[in-house]
Amino acid sequence: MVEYILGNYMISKGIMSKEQLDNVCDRQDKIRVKLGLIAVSEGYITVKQAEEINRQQALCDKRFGDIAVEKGYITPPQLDRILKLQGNTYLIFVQSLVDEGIISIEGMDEIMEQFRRENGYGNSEMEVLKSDDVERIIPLFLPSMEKEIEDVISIAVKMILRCIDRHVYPERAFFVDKLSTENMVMQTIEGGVNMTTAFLEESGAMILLAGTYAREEFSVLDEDTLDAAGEFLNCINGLYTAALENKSIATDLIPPEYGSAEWQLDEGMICKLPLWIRNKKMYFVVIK
Amino acid sequence: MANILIVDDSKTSRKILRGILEGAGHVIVGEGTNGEEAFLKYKELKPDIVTLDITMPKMDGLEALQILKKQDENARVIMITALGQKEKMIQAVKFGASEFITKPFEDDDVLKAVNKALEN
Repeated sequence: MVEYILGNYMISKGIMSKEQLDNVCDRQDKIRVKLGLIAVSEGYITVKQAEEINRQQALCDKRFGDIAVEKGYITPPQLDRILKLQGNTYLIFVQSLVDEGIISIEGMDEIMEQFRRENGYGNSEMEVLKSDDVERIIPLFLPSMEKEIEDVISIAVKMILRCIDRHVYPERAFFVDKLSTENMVMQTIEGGVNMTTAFLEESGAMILLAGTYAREEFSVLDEDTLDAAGEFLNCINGLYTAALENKSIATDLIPPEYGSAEWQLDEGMICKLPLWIRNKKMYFVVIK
Repeated sequence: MANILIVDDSKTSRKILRGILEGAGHVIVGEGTNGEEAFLKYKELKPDIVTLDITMPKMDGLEALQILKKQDENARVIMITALGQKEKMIQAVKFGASEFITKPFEDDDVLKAVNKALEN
């Protein structure tokens, strides 16, 4: 995720082109080995155990390494070792940029400082960004808001990364007081927590998301595409409400709806998080 | 191999389930889109197994499950649900559901649930 956040900033500053960023990210995909594969090749876990952890990851809001440790398949020092072997995405990204002659190491330092100042980040926020830890990065893109909204947004981004595509990055979320749209899927959560979550299409990301979830190719935003996106939204909300259940908060999921929608809130808030998936944009929306 | 009736209001879910089940050699004898169709089609098609989505408009899966079990107490019904529906799952067990499948679908989990339901 960090490579897209910084890469797009560098594009906006005219330091690199979109094609160069895509090439660097594609190359990183080839270099970057999945944690499970490293754990198997190191002899820590079996292929069957890795598959089991992957399955469980889709059903709970936890990282691969944390599940592996919890199940007793690997020890915390073994997790540290495989994380080190996997390498840091930020450092690999900088190395690729330098190797390609796009920027020097000194130039990168300057850009990072400029990025820090423009976004009002301190050193700790920059360290979070460099860690490429999605769990910690997402809050950097959210304005101050209720914890419940932050939690469901975090789960949504992680689910998209796990189940749809790893080429995902957010822009800063913002609030609006009304929303009127035609290309939306939404689902309401009722009970101990009351909110509506939605996907809103912008430039093809929802079509991409729906196709990957439904295991078929969609080219337009028709009823089938919206239905598939709605089912994926249902999975996100299911994971979120399962987390609420663990805190003894009972909720009910209303069937997803799609089509046009209009909200004008006197109270409460509508939060829109812009999300890019492979250079296509959509919004994850929370209405509470 | 089993004859299976899939009941889900989402075309996407029906299609994914059909793909997984047919890929393993099962036969999909019919599809339904709401709770009412579940028990009407069950009567007509007499499948070995019904997969029944819990969250559906009109008549939800729990209501349909109760009617189905009244129709045939030996009916094997696998409930389909998103996570976070513990209360509904507990109710479904009380009403006689055989197994559960949680979305997003994982091929192995779907086939294991079907095999378990058949064993019972």
